[in-house]
Amino acid sequence: MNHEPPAELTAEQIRGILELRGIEAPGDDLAALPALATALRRQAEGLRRAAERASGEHATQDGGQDG
Amino acid sequence: MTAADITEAALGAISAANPDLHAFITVNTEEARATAAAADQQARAGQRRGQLHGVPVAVKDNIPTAGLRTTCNSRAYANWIPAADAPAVSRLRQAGAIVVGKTNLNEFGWSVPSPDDLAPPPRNPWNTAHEMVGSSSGSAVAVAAGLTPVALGTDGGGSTRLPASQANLVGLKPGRHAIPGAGTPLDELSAIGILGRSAADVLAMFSVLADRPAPRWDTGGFPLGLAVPRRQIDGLDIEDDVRTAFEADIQALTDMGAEIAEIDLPHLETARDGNFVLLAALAHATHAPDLRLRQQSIGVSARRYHLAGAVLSVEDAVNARRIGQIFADELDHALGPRTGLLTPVSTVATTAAARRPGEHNRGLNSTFTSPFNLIGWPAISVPSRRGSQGIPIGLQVAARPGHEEWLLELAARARLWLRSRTPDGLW
Repeated sequence: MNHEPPAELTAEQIRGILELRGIEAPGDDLAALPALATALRRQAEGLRRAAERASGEHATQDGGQDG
Repeated sequence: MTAADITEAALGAISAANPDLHAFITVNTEEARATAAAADQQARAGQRRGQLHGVPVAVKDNIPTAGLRTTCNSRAYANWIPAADAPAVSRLRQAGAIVVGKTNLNEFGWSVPSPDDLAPPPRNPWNTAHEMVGSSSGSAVAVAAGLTPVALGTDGGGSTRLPASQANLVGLKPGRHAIPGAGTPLDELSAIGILGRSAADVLAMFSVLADRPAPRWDTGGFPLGLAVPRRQIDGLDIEDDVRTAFEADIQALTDMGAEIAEIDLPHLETARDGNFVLLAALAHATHAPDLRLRQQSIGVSARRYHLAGAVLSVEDAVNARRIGQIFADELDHALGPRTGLLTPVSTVATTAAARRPGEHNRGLNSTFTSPFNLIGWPAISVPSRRGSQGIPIGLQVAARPGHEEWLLELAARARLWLRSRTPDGLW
């Protein structure tokens, strides 16, 4: 399992994500977005890891039962 | 004193103070006067509309008001005049309240103020060198400066409690669905909040808004089952002024007879992150049409905060909700038979500190407030002390669902006690 924090998103990657959603961002915004977007992704990764840890604890407690 | 007298006093105070404080975006002068005159006529005929008859109220400008523009402090909504009141506003009007104006906010209640917002940011009347923290900044300024006795805010991560704390006010974020949020642009994490100078004033408003009868407070035997997340309080990066005020409050409440247990909440910060991620995802989804069609009408800060949410996925939102359930279970178990949790409201005392780059955009100043948005429990900011820069510092109490009235009674009792224990000259 990779526990390294996600690398910083590039302006080009964010432009692509926004374009998929039909949104065109101006250049100034694209220059500012990597810091904001990367911080969000890192928080989201932290949530994923915390949720996985909690699931593991529950699986141990419940003996891995279905349901 | 008539409703017209009270309304004129409020309008006069707003007119005098607003150019410096920027509390209001729109003042509802003519309608307020007409409503007050009608209220006085009804009173002379022996009819009172309800328990808020003739009370001037301010309404945050992201809560729709029929016939009165609702801008969200955005140029994109500068001319939006809703056809209908939000249900919460309807309830206030039915109880006789008079809406005197719409209060300033961080654009859309999310982001930090920027020069291209519709209105400039409100100043804190306790020290006008400082901006009031948001996002219900205008509502807090309106009440703190005595322009209206009470105001409506909204609270998606602390936006009622944080400015209430900085303004020496009682600020209540009710539990999820306690006050109807339908008809507002609020998401599932956000609640309509109430700001007032006393717990009794906020209780009167809450009783109307939640349609629950206000309990009597003279029954005695008030239960004070409280807890503190000690490991998190000791381990987090909290400003000295805030830490000092909090520990003094804990001592004062202990002296008052409260039994305060020390508990551990390992998922407190994760719950903050969960709320922030979910808010960011919801903000992006909600504003995607505006981002496609009229992006340049949105201020630069709100625009970038809304754009950034595009990098989140459905899986992220699901994980955030799972963390909410984990935190709610953890808190429920740790509290045991107790009802309330004590924390500082904010980790920092000033707005400048709350808006530090690299911290505001992760919600760090809302570490103690936002977890209760994620799980939908009610929480309140109780006036406490004043920090070294003259800015008030509040105490937060959160409680199990359905305990808004308990929180307000605790706020009333603690307020009296904390005031009596505060060293001379501090207030």
